[in-house]
Amino acid sequence: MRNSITTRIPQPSTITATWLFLMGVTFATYLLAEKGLGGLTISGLVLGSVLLKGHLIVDHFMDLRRTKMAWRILMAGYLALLLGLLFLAYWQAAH
Amino acid sequence: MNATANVLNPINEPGDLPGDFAIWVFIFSELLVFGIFFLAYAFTRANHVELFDLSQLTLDRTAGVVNTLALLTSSYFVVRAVQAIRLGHAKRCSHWLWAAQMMGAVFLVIKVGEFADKFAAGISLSTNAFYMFYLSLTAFHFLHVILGMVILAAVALKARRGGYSAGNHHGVETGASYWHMVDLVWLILFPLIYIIH
Repeated sequence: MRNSITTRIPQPSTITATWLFLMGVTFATYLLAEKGLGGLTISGLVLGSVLLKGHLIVDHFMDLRRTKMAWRILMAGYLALLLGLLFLAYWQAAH
Repeated sequence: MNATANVLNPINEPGDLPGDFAIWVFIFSELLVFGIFFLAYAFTRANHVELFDLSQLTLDRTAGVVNTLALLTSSYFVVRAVQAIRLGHAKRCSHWLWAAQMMGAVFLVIKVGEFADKFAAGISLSTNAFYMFYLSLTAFHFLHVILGMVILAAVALKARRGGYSAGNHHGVETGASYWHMVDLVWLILFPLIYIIH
């Protein structure tokens, strides 16, 4: 019984690595803005990083990795659609 | 008797969403509402690029990134709380949840400071379209952080009193799921309002 519980618990080291990665990517996007970098390419890069971070939050923090595929597809679809439409808005602004 | 016990102490089947399903209905609704707000912001900006970019420069970007790191850290602490209770460590779970709330409090204090600066400068919802979105979006999210902290406090108190165990921690997962949603929304809001131009 104990084994069945512990095997479905993510290792703290995996969660810690995910958290540090999220912190690092967030700080990197902040530095981009601090250096005055902008425009469509940077916007796409930042929105892409948000998509990646969103997936990590959903999979590792919300723990949807172990749920039915339909829930994961719903969350992944939400993130992809929203961030895709946001990029479209920035593309529209640049043209 | 068994039916009553199942209702009071629901047990998730493998593959179910963590926590109470009702919180997920709430989470998906909230994500939809925030998503519409974000799209309204971005497509309004497309017609007022210069105004939005100039107004964005008046924001305290460092406060924004510190708040983002605070929320990410609080979410990490909440994951550790869930891990602790799955192993039956109720007090450790409670400690992680209080630590998460400390980071939530850091977020609120910094955000109040930002709001105070803007109001002192005479900025309000009617100043221009950017500030209308900035103030309403961040204030709406601010209220969600407060609600999340109330939920986490209730869960932490119950954990402290031994109300959760390795076999019964539905409430911890429910509170954790809500808190991660609050974090997820801010992860999108932060670059949109503070970074991208």
